[in-house]
Amino acid sequence: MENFLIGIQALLSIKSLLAILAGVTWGTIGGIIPGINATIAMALLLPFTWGMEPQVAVMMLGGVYCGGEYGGSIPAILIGTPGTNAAAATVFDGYEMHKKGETGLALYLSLYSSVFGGLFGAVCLMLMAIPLAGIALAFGPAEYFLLALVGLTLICSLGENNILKGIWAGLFGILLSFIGFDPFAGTPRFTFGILDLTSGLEMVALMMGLFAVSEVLRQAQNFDINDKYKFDKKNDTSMPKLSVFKKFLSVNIIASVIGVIVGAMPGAGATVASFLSYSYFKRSSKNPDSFGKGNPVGVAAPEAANNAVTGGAMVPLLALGIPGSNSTAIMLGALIIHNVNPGPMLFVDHPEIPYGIFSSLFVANIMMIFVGIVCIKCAVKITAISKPALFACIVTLVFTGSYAFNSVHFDVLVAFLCGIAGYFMRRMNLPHAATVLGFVLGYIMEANLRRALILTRGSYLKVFLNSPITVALTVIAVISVLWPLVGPLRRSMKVQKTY
Amino acid sequence: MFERNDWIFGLVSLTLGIAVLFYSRTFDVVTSMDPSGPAAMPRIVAWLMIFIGIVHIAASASIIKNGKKPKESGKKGSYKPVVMICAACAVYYLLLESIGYIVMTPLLIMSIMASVGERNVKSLVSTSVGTTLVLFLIFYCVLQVNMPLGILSVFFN
Repeated sequence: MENFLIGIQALLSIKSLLAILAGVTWGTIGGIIPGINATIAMALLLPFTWGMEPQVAVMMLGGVYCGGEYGGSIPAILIGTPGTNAAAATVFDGYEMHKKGETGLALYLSLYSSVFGGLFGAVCLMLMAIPLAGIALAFGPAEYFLLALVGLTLICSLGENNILKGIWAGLFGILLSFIGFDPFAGTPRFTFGILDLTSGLEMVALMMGLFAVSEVLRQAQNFDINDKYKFDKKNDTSMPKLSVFKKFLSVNIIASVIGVIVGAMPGAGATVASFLSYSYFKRSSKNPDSFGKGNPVGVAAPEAANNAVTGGAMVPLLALGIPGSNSTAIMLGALIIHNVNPGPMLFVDHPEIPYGIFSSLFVANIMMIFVGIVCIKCAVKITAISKPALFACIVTLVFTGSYAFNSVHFDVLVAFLCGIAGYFMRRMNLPHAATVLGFVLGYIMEANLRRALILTRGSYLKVFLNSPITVALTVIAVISVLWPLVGPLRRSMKVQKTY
Repeated sequence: MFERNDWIFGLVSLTLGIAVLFYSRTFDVVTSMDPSGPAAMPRIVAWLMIFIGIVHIAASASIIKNGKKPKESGKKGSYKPVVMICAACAVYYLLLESIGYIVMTPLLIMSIMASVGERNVKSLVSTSVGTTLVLFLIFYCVLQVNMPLGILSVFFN
């Protein structure tokens, strides 16, 4: 209880409240603009957290996360183009409702469901993270190494067709984390005599390059200046009566439960949650044919689910120090940048951060109602931002932010080269998100493996068989790598049998 | 799971793995206090990359040998804007410190916008000047970051 009061105290300052408001507003606007999702919005904001207190920085990023997941639904409804991947499922019915003239209902139902999902996720985060962190306090270096390994293998294996490419992307990130002085022996590694590399790659520049610059290059390749959105400026965007929203309460509760469960699973994320929720309600509906033709449940279900993910995804981050998604990886990066070691000890060493996040998520979701209402009013203008200007502004913001973080010219080059690397990774179907996670987890993995090897006097086998927890984590890591191979193997065996 | 042109990725992975393995010889320091040493993790990563590379080369060769047709890919787009944006970014990096942020940033913005086909001069000028001004004010005046002033440094001293 005392810690909750510390969290609320951290929250109830003008700085924190303004930071959350700024975060929610930027996140919502970022979500509205096609091409910027919650992760990119968070990455672009990282340099601005420079000089902030860590808890204020994390609260602001939490606000961006909530706003970004919601904002994507506005262009999905208005122009049939999801602002974020997580809002793709909202297009099916949201855009149809807009075409039928039910724009106001679609937009406000999406806002109401997002807020409901976000608040539900925040409650679940509080209930789940504290007990899980209590268990994790008993972890030693071997357990932490394997936990990071499990986090990485789960993320690398989910959502991709080729698990080996996912693992490779993670390994590449780990490799990048080795650049600079070795933390134990002080040996320079992969510096090639370049002085700027001795302190390692700057996380802010790497993240912004991999996520934002590579996305700009990808979109620029397929961009046609003649493709322009058409807007119907006579849309009815008035808010329906509150009684209308009550009809969707049960939908929001079930969708939020789906969102929290999916969010807590490393690698799954808001997109998976929204599609799962949409398909659940479509399958269980008495009239499944109405989905895709403007059924309001098709808007409420994905929106509640993708916002409930925000709370769920923070469970492994706060309790174990292992990010479960791209956005939480950026949040982990923000904590490291502010010299805060994430993990269960966070609850003991810096209680104001996890408890501040708990309370800030509630405030962020409530603020989202007001920010959402304002954004709905001017959404058409925001979505009409020209793509060439958007591309240029993103690249400029990335370079300026990379430079400003440490006033180091070399970081601009890091962001640029990471952008090119990210572009080629996308071309080769390599999940660049796994690289970011590998980079973030690389140090945790190496430091804990080496500490564990000191304790086991150099025996790798003893690291894996150190305790029942390490055995269980090893089994989970192996299963998470092998499991995605079972499906393709079965299919190829079936094909062979038919011949 | 595997594709016809995966041999390219396999080759990149194999080369990178071998390079890491070769380079990690230079930091092989093992002590009783640190039995694994700084080269252990890079070597594990390198061997895994080599393994993944070989698997992809073999799988791709098998697909090519079986004469499987390549998958029809959708809209490929043009590489021209990508190359032009990269060139603009490279020039920006090279001249940022000597010419300065205030001069180079509008040029970068205009080049990127022009690379993707924007020809409206009013839009080019307003976006580049406006964005530069806003970012410079935020970072230089509000956050007090030491931005590179280059040729305009005399005006700020």
